[in-house]
Amino acid sequence: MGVLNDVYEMLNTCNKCGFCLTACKTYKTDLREPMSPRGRIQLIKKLADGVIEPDKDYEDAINSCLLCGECAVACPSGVRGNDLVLAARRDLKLRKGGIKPFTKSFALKTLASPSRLEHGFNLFRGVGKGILNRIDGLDYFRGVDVKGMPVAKKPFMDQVPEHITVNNPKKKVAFFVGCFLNHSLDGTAHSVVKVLTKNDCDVIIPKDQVCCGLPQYAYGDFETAKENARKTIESFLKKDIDSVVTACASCGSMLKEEYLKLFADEPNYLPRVKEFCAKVFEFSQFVEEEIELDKSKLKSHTPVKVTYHDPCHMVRHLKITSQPRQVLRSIPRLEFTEMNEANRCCGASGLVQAFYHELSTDITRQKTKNIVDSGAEVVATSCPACMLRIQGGINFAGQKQKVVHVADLLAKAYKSEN
Amino acid sequence: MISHNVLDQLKAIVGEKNVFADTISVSSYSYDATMLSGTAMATVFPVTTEQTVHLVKYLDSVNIPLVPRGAGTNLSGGTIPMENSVVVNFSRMTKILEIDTENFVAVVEPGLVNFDFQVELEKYGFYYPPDPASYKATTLGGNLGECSGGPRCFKYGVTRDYVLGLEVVLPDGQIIQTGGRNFRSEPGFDLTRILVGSEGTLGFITKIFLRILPKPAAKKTMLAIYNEVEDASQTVADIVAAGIVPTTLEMMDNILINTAEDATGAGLPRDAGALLIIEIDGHEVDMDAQVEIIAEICKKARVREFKIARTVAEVDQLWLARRVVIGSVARRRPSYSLQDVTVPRSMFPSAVKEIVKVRKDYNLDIGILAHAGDGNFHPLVLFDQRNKDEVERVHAVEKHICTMALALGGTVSGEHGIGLLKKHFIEMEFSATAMESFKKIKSAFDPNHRFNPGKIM
Amino acid sequence: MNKAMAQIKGLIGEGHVVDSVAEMAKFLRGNGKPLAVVFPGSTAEVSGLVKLANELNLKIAVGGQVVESKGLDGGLALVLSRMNKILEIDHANLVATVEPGILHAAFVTKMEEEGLNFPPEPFAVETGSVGGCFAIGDTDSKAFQYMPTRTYLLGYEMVLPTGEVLDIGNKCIKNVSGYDLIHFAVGSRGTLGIFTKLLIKLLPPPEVKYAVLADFASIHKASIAFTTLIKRNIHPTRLNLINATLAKNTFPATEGNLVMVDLEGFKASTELLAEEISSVFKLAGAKNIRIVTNADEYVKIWRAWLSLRGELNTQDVERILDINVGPMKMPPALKALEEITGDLAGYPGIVLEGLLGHIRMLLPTAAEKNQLAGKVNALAMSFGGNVSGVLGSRLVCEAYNDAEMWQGITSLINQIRKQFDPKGILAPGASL
Ligand SMILES: Cc1cc2nc3c(=O)[nH]c(=O)nc-3n(C[C@H](O)[C@H](O)[C@H](O)COP(=O)(O)OP(=O)(O)OC[C@H]3O[C@@H](n4cnc5c(N)ncnc54)[C@H](O)[C@@H]3O)c2cc1C
Ligand SMILES: Cc1cc2nc3c(=O)[nH]c(=O)nc-3n(C[C@H](O)[C@H](O)[C@H](O)COP(=O)(O)OP(=O)(O)OC[C@H]3O[C@@H](n4cnc5c(N)ncnc54)[C@H](O)[C@@H]3O)c2cc1C
Ligand code: SF4
Ligand code: SF4
Repeated sequence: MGVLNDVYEMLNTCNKCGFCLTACKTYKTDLREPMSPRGRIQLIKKLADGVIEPDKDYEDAINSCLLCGECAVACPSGVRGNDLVLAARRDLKLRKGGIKPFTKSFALKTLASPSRLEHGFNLFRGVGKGILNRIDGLDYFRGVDVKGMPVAKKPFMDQVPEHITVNNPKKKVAFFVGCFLNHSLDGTAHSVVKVLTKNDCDVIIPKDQVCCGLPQYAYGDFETAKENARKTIESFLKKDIDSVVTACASCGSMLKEEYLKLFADEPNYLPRVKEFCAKVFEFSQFVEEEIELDKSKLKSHTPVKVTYHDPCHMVRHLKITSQPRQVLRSIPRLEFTEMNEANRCCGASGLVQAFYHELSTDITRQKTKNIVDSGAEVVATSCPACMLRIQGGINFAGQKQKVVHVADLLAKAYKSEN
Repeated sequence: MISHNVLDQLKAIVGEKNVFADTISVSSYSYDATMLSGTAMATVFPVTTEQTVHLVKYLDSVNIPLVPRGAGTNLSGGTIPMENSVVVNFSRMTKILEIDTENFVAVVEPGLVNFDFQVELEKYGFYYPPDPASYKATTLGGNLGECSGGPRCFKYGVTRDYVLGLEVVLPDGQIIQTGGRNFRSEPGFDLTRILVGSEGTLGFITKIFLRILPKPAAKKTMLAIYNEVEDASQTVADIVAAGIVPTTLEMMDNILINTAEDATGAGLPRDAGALLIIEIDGHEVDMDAQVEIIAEICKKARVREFKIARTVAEVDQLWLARRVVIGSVARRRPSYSLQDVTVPRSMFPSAVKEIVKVRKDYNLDIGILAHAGDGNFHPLVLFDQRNKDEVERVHAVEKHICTMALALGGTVSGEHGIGLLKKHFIEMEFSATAMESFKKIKSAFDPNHRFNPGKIM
Repeated sequence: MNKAMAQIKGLIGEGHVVDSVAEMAKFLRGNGKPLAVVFPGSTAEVSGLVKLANELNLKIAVGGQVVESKGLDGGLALVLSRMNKILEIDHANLVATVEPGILHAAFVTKMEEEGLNFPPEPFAVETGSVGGCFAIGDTDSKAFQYMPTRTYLLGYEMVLPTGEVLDIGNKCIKNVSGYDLIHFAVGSRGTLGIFTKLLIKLLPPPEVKYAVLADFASIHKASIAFTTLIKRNIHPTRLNLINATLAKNTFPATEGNLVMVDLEGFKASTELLAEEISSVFKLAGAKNIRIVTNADEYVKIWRAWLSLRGELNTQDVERILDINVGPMKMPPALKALEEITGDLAGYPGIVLEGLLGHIRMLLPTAAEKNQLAGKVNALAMSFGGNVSGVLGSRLVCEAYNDAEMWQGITSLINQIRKQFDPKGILAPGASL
């Protein structure tokens, strides 16, 4: 198979030393080899060698990976387990035309199409949540905090105009909203807009923007991913903008890095991709590097103890760790504290939380414990998927900490002076 | 293939979620950190001693051999299963049953990972000295199985020196307890010692009583950089001769300095011929005088640069480089063969010379890594498994190096064990009487060859 | 009978065989009546004797100077005093190769002269041999710092119970090749085979050796002071106590119980530690606290300790009960013990090894041993310990009502003995 051939050198480089075992949350939770990076890599290699079949157990090994990238950091031999899993998922897609069982591919298709997604959320908002509310004890469906899960009354993009202008703009910034902020955490999307406008940026929210394509990409559906990527690139590049900001670490890594890989086979289009990628900034990175935060404008009413969770895509893909902390530290009366294993995965990872929920729930439990141990009242992070996942875990554990986006805390600091 | 009946019985013993016989699961247990492989018919995860007993008794009754496994990082083929066997994973028995710092004892289950144990001990200001470079992944059961060493052996000894007692399931399903929680050894056959390092062939370890120590008050980590590997080995001999007992004397040569640097970016000098990591520990007031003596010795051996790590971060960087060095060679060539020969310390320089010569004679990349204070070498022969000619030369080198070690009065294995990989070499090392004695031990414990058959002998 | 004697004499020479009862008694311990006491001079001779014993079905027991004659009726007592040479001292590798018959105490002295350190304490100063040292495999009062005796054996040559010669081990301090027969043999008390050569690991000598002595009116206060030191992470080389009764004989000037601390290490830290220990003792109410830095005096003190230890190990062995508990559990364990024994200071003998949590009792009579053992074991178990030795293992199994485990261990041990010694020739007196 072509895909696996392309990565065969790397598969072959894994010398089975096992150094990655401890780094991998799915292994540390399940303690079986197929749930480890080494296990996954060896299975992929065996498949490539034609020794095993891509049966359901194989799919489970491959699809339960969080793509958190921790194994790549731990590997002394330079093997990138997450990339190999990605290749394996691509290979599966090519072999079988998509992920089985049906539910998984349904979820992916739903995400890929804005209208379907909206429909899904609407359904949930109306009927679904009502029904769930009535079923006793079904607060948590597969480890996801169903009752507590916020749903935007109206998608964020329907709430705001395409262009939000300020006096004397210093920059023209396009906002890549992303599915989660659009449909669920619209408040955070507003926070982003507020911070940008407070810092003299015109904000442009292209109404024709779609899902970044990561969910499909992560499960090997490169075709759909590409389609979405192309749409995204075009819808942003046709606007007159200086930068593209996203407040979702996962979207960020897709937009800024994976697009380049995705289009590596289209040399003609690649320059345009590069042009786009160069404009993309993750929110805290943008705040720290592209605008000068005027700290005198920041006020805060009540002192609060805050810790920070590094989303996998931030720390290991985008390699952004200091910027969000800087932003937090610049907020007056905010006491920053580090938790243990701040950069370890929260267990969400796209569809893993839905289809390997026991595994995922165990991983989230470890994250929750670290948060509680840190003594913080608020957990800030940079990815809506992590926010929902961690908040669910905290609620599930009967704890009180609130999970917010770095942008939320920063936006709040402007409030008093409104 | 496993019969339904056997599978059902296994499930009845350890529960549905702790038995796997699908292709994916069994092929995930077909390997360890060597290049050997074999496929079992099932893999099970006992979580209690009782389950282990039942497993052993049941499988004995149906003539199925058992292969115990921890994290499968051994370098001897010690966990490679045979077709008709069941792999018994201890990876889910991970509990720390007790940490008693007042009495220097910890009681743990065999699947506990060495690193996780150290993290827990650290909270009490304690540690467990034997920490193989692979400690982040390896289980304590596996460490006992191989009697693993680590970079601190020179002063602190190896795994066997920290095992106070064991709970063991014998091949007939009998549970015995050896030793105890107290440091004082008991007179009589030292069953604990014969079990440690027996590679799962005599008994399954289900509970371990370990000696733990408070962290030393002071520690100094030094880095000595040389132009020539021979100078580094001279330093080692001189330090030992001066009566200094460092905790650590680790050596790596130019090839490995470079691959480690690729992996970590620790700032190691890429053009150096060799480097030594030297660490001493003890009472604060004793440190400086020892450092001075060591510095003097290094200077005499034409050290190019002698550095003392100033910060914890600097120390960690050095250690990180050391710990990842074995894996890091994959950056240069995809396969490696790792030897574990050990020679008397005075023979260290001769052994280094010989390996340097072998490198030329066989025209192979060989990185030299050594727990130099112990005379324990890990020559890393780099190659590509797909290159037949190279593979042949690698085998020749392996034999050459083992023969050399034996000729210098050493052994073919200092810490990795024999397993399947070195079976052929131990007959070179031991007399017929010794081999016969090993067989007697095996027969006394496991007359039917149920536990990890074919390993060691 | 005469034929056997002739064969023996033929093997090792008439001059090296003693068979008159009176003469034999000098070399025997206990009441057994062996056929002869023999003095082999080489591995080949030992092997020849063992083969002969197999042929003639004679029991064999060995010793350095004196042999335990229990179960040896009609058998051979092998005294290895002729095999007492140091064959090699290898400074570069810090190892020595010796014959087993050399006196342990003499070997220690010789190593000191060579600028080397062999830490294990002789089991019995007068008679204990290096072969015996490893055959017994003690954990002595220096073991916290220096590790148990076992760690000092790197290899050996041994005549197996069938007469073959097993040669195993090497000068490497790390060795995991094959089964660990090397350390397994330590403590086997001559049942696995007869050591004929030993390859011994040595250490560089400490820079200084100091002692701290102190008189304590109360054993309890002393033992609490020990725990204070441990809590402060002070782990001297030895941290011992002998009770008033024993101290009176050994160190007549002592007022009450005597605490004996040994400090071997670097000068700078040793000086500091000596002071710190003294002040801890002072706070605990000790009298006559002395820091001993003078080498002669130091040697005298520890020689006295070793003699006492040797006497208890040999002459008084029938009256000895050893208990191990965790070091920090000593104070409550001693309190509880006192309820059984009455005043500890005035008891026939109490010896503490503070870092090892070892309590040694010299009982008023041997008869009391069986009576007390169960009770004392129950006490020790409640502090996470037990009575040591075979007796202890049995008692622990009994306490757990675990006949099965006891049987498991004994049958395994018997299996091993049977594998190596099918005819049951060696060490008839040793129970493991
Ligand atoms: C990169 C690298 C570096 C290494 N560095 C070192 C080093 O510095 N020092 C060193 O000594 N080793 C080193 N090793 C070797 C290896 O890590 C050790 O041998 C380790 O102790 C194996 O532990 P494990 O948990 O992986 O055991 P496994 O490999 O699973 O098992 C090891 C042996 O123990 C047996 N076993 C496992 N569990 C039990 C049990 N409960 N009861 C009875 N038998 C059992 C197995 O059958 C097998 O024979 C290294 C390996 C690698 C790959
Ligand atoms: C656990 C234990 C229980 C004891 N119980 C009793 C008792 O009930 N009654 C009693 O009177 N004494 C008893 N003793 C004391 C014993 O009999 C001796 O006094 C003690 O072993 C010291 O003897 P030694 O000084 O002559 O030493 P050594 O002559 O050095 O011998 C010590 C031990 O080592 C063995 N040994 C010596 N040399 C070799 C060799 N080269 N190869 C193999 N083995 C060798 C001996 O057989 C002996 O067991 C006991 C000792 C121990 C350790
Ligand atoms: S991926 Fe890297 S760390 Fe993991 S087993 Fe392979 S080589 Fe080792
Ligand atoms: S990417 Fe994360 S979950 Fe996937 S194998 Fe690597 S460490 Fe495990």
